[in-house]
Amino acid sequence: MTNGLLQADKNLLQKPDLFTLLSLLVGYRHHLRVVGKSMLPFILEGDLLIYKKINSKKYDLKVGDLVIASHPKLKSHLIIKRIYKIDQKKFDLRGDNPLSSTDSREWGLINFNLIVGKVVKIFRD
Amino acid sequence: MLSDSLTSILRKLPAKSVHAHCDGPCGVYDPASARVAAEAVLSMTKKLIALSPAGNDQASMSAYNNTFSRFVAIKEEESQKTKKELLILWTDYFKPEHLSTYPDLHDTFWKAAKLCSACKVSIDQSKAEELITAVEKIHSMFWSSKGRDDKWVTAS
Repeated sequence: MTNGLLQADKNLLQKPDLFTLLSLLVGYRHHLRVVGKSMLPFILEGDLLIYKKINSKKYDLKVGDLVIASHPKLKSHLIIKRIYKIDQKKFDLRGDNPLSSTDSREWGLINFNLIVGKVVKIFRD
Repeated sequence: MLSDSLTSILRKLPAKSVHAHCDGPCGVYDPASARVAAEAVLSMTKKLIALSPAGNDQASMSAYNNTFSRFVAIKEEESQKTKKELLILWTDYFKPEHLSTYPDLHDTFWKAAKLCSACKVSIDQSKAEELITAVEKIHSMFWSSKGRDDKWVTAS
């Protein structure tokens, strides 16, 4: 599983492309800049995340995916975490850097309606 | 060439922040961590009080001593964890301006931290219950400082 995750992660790290830029401009994809270190070593502070919004009727989330979610206590805050477990429509979200991450270990399972999107690309300067 | 241009555009693209949260600089605090640890302290204290050897033979005493040691170790660890979580709230979250709304803030935290120590040095259920009460008071202060009224819910 670890190898699979690493390969999946590698696929996310890409060089900027015209299609993504157009996707952002027309609202087909969305972007966020990372603040914080809970996703080290894979995601660095300052990385630009490209994500697609989740369709509640048809979604393809699985263990290992990187997702954007609303913070369960501070709804206006968006957080980036990895899906650690899925129990029906509830998600155990964890940071890759457990020593510096506040996540489902404290909050418990996160409801599906708090999941905003799935990371599809990562751009790094 | 195109890649460089795109990189330059994306670098300048205004972007909202997504938080890779950690305790501290991200500004995300929650007294729930202290509450869970304090509940564990009370639970282990009750278990220690209720614990007795199954018999006087060597095997029973070994089993008793082993379990007793484990319970004490967990109580010690959870007491320290409670203290650490409370200190984070006290020193990082609460600011001088909160003192006007909660004039007993320092006293509350100081006494709560003292209770953590008391729970370590003795097997005293009343102290462990006092600690829970103190953490509940801090829970109320914390959420009211955020303009919220989150219900106090315990796990046990």
